[in-house]
Amino acid sequence: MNSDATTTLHMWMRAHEDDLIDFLRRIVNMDTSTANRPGVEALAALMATELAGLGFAVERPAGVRPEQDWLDAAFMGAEAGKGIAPGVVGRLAGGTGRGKLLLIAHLDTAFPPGSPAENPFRIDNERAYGTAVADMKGGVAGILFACRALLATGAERPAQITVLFDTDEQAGSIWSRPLIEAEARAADWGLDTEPGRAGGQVVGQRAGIAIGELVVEGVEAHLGTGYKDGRSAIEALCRKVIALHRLHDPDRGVLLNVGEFAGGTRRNLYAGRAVARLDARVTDAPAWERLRAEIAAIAAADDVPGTRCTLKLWQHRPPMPWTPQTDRLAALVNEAAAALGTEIPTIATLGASDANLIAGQGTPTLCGLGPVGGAIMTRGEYIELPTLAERATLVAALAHKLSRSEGTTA
Amino acid sequence: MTDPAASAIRNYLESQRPAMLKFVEELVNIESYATQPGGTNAVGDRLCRELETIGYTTERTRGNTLPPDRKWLEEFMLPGFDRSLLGDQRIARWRGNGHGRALVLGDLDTAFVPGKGFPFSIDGERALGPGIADMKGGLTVALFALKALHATGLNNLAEVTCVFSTDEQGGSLDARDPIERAAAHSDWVFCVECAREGGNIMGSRAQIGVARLEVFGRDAHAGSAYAKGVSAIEAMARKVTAIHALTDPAREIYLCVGQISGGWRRSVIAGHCLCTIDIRTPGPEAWAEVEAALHRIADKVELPGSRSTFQIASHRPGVPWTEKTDRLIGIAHEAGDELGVKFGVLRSPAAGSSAFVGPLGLPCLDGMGPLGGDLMTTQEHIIIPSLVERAALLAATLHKLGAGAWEARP
Repeated sequence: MNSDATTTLHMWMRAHEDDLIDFLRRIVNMDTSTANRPGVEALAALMATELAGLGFAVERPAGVRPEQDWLDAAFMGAEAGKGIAPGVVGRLAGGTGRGKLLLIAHLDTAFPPGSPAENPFRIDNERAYGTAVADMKGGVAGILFACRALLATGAERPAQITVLFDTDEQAGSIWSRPLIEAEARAADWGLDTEPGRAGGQVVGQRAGIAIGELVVEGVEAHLGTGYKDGRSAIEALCRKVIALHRLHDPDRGVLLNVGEFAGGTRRNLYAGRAVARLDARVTDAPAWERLRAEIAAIAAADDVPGTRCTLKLWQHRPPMPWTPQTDRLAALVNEAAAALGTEIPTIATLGASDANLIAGQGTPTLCGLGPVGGAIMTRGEYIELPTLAERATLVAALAHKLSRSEGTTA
Repeated sequence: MTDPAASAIRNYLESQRPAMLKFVEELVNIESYATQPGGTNAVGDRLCRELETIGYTTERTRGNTLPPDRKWLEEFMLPGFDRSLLGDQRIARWRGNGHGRALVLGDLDTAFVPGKGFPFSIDGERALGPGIADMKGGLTVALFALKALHATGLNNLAEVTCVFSTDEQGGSLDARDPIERAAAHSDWVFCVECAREGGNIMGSRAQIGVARLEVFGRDAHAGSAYAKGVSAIEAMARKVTAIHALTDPAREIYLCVGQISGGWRRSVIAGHCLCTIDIRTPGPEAWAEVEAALHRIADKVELPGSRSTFQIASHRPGVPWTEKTDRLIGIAHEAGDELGVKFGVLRSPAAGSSAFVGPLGLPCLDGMGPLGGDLMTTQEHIIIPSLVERAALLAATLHKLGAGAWEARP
């Protein structure tokens, strides 16, 4: 019977594929750079209206200022302190099936303001191109049309479906995190429509990501006349960078990169200050606990006496580990894929998304359920156009299957 | 103080104490960073006008263009500035019927970039101002020392040449040639940098050079594509610690990576890292040794797939301490004893405009300017009474040389 429902949902979706593409065109051409708050607000308002039109009860919760000011600066740069456009939460009760399902997508893009004008939606040879068409306007449209399909076909669905559109994922979701985590705790399952991998896979496991900043204060002094007094912050930080990169060990599930390094003001002065910024990824929570202690020890090491290091370190994306429930969700994806006449494997990746925040609350979660895409965050970003409807069907089919499933609830 | 010449010089300069303070204030109030040709030209005009009234002929001149392999130094020393726009180098020359040829060196530019200055002020024995120690106080000492010789009728030399340079802060790339030309027909050199602590002067100056090291890796996302990346920051960190390890204070070899910058995003493995290096050695043998070691460090491939480019040049050859230096120090000490001005003589690990006279075999006493301190800060100051003392010391030393003291010493 499941495969029949999937087929029915897919037939509806194919019949409405032009509407889906038109909707995608419309929202790709809206400028929703994280920094362009009015642009993000316009899309949020549109999505709120669309959900309300389907009978969702809609709220617009404000973002929550992160406790650490430095995080805001680290992710928002010049826009720090200005907050974010309120997100969109829509709740649809009255489903006759089991459980509560959370569907999530982000409305903001990683592109600078003004990008859609230069890189608008266009179709060429079975691919759709345009600003953030994959990451993740395609997934935003997919959630809306999955809900439409469920309602239009009368397919059995979970007792409650919550749709959450957040507005700062590309900036670490640091203002949306409390909201996402609260909805995750209230849900039995989470589905995130980030783009499918270029090979068509969905994502069952993601790395946890932390960001860090090391600032070393040395003693600025002239090389010629101040040799005895000078303490080079650059030297001290170089030693720490070498030690930090030694922690990189993919075999034990740790990736660490110092991606930014800057120090000194003049070539003939011992540098009084140097700054390094790092990105650290782990595959599970114990690895993070170990890594955090190791990074702290390196920061505290007295490499160059007379210098002082301060460390800021924050895991903004907890790991999304592969669990037995991931196997069950992957099995449902396989069932739906078979009904659609395709194969959709579930894999692990080292990237991260809002799905990490959902999984971090212990809620079974899949990600990468949006259309299959590539060249993410470049001008050539694209989706494979046939997968737009296919993945929207997949989301609806998973909602349906979960509402009938046994033992997959948390 | 029984020597009549010394007494006459001292008496004259005592009478000029208010004029000297007024003159230094006037110079300090002309903002004159190297890239402010209006400022350096105005300071040069002011000095030359004064010298012309006591019979000096003055000229404006410019240095040679750099050979292609050293051209990079121009952008390195004064980034974004076209050397052809510098203020003119000034030569002031007096010829008489006496004995011996003296060269006096001073700088018209200061370390204070436009807008970073502060007003001239007097605080007890101290006069404060941007560039007052480095080296508008020294220019005042030089001018009034020469004026003293004329006012007292004690100028017994054959020739006195002054070179006032406009790009000492920019490595003297332009002033080098005028200084070398003037040194070629001089016997002794005096430079009016401010005195070191306790009034000490400098009998030798280090050889100084600069280098620019650029490392190229391969950028890649620090998650899924980590293995494809090659971190230029990591390779550079290893090079920096190796470079600093070349420092050997016992041999007066000093190296400092003063500025470093690499990468652009935490989550991207850095494809590029750049640093600047300042190098000081006691002379050409040590320089050659350090240069070879730096080439080895630059050429080393720490990470497969990384490569580097390296440029190095010594822009100040330095002044060695020779027997001639001892002779000149002896004469200056004699003059100091007669005036009651005490000072020691140091080997200096820094260098300035006087650095070019070493290879010509000339002895040089540097640091003949007033006592002062807190250079390049908002507390930069001179000790007011030392204006008169140091002008007297310079004038009396010149007079002794004209009187045959050089030849009289073993």
